[in-house]
Amino acid sequence: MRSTLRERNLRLGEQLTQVRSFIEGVEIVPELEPYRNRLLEVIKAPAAECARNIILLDLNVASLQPDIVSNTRSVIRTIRLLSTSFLRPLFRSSRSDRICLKTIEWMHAQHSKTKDLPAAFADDACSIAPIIQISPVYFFPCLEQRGLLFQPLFYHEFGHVLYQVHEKELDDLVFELQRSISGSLSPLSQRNDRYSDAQAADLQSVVDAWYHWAQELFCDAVGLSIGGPAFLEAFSAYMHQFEIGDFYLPVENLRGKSHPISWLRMRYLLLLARDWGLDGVAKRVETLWEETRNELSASDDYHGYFEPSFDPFVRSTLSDMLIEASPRRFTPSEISEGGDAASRDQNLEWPALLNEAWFRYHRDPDEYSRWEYEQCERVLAHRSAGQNPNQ
Amino acid sequence: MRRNDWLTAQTVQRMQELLSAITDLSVSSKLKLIGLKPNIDLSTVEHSRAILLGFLDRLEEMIKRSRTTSAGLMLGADPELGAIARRFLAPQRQETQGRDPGLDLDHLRALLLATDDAELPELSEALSEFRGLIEEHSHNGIAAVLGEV
Repeated sequence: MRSTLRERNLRLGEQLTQVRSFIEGVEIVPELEPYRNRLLEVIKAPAAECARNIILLDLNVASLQPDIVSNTRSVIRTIRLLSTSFLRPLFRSSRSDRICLKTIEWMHAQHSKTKDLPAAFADDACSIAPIIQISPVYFFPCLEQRGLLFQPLFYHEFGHVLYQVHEKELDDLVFELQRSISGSLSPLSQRNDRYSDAQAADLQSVVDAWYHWAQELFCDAVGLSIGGPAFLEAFSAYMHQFEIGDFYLPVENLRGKSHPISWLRMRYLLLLARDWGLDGVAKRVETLWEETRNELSASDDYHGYFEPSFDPFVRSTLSDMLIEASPRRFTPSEISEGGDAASRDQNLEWPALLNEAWFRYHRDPDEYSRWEYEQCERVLAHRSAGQNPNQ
Repeated sequence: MRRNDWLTAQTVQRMQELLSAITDLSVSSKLKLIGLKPNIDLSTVEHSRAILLGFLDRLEEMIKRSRTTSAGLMLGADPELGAIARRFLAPQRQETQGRDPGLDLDHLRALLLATDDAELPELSEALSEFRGLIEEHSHNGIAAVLGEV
């Protein structure tokens, strides 16, 4: 095994040298430079581990072998993680990435605890690897990344980064929520037999689901806080697919489900939107979802995974989570429609631009594409000239 | 990255950090035992010790909270972490049935804080057992993130 480990660590060291060359040599858009620099720092640690493993092997101490195996396994995992996730933003870099990178850069800059995180994303369904110790990597679908309308969906993913940087405090709030939910579902008397074990397992399944769901609802709220109407519009348009599963799921599909049913997410977003004075857009979105729900004759049975009695706990938890994480809140001017459109278009800051995109889209869908193209070119041209008009 | 798997990514990162801390402490204590100078600097060893103690705090808090619920629920952390905490609950239940109590959190904490070199063999053994437990529980998450052919 010693010679196998030695050989493997030598090869892994060589692989990391190749990774370094690739990272240094690949042509990327300027917005990805901080991410490139971050990865160059990150790969120093596994390279040092390979060298240390070889030094430890040379000591010829049998008791160290399990540690060397563990360290080697860790380096293999890191390289694979680089290959499957972290190198993807560099491999696929193209000019059209710059709109998404602009959104991510802007988001990160809005919070004191994320302002130094680099921007990076790759093609996939909307999601994130919120590994802040390396760098968060966002994933975004190919079509939606080429325009402005769906950019606010990044705000939701940013919520997962905020959760990471406030993990302890937010976990404590989720604990209280889980306890309230389990309290409201627990039977009045507890038996002490196999039936009771099954009840406890069901209850654990519900509270486990709510660990995930609380974070998702928090991220939705972060999205609304940052983006205002544009987030609600983008979220609704992206999620609305005429799927019965968006409104109802059988109990076996709810068990272990990582995201709440879409209708529940809309429900809490709409409540928050109304609290924040966004009645107009809330009304429009609610009508769309209500009509669809009626059309699909969806049941409102959530098999104990959600009950209307959870509402006060969920709403107060979300409110406390927002206070703790303090995401940026949209300003009235960013969400106002009207004024001199021509001069506005030249001066729109990022969240205002994304809201204006939805106003324009609703007002004149036929003209929208031309306007969106011009706006994207304006943003990219400013950046190319070394200016950054939107920060 | 598997789609919509933010939690798995977080869990994998946490486990990697933990495994690295276990290895640093284990190597350091074994080299010390055979009279060799550890090739890990003191600040790294202390950082690793702090990571492990922090993790034990988290598990202990979960266990304590679990005891406050009538159904023994694991709350306030991701379910993967809950599964690890549950492993430390189980020996106490099993002890009454005369089974091996297994790795004990209080004992592991005492070993991590011990200053007497006489404790080093036991620390190495406990770290090895703890590593086995973490590896066992992180396998599914790692497979989900890195993919399987």
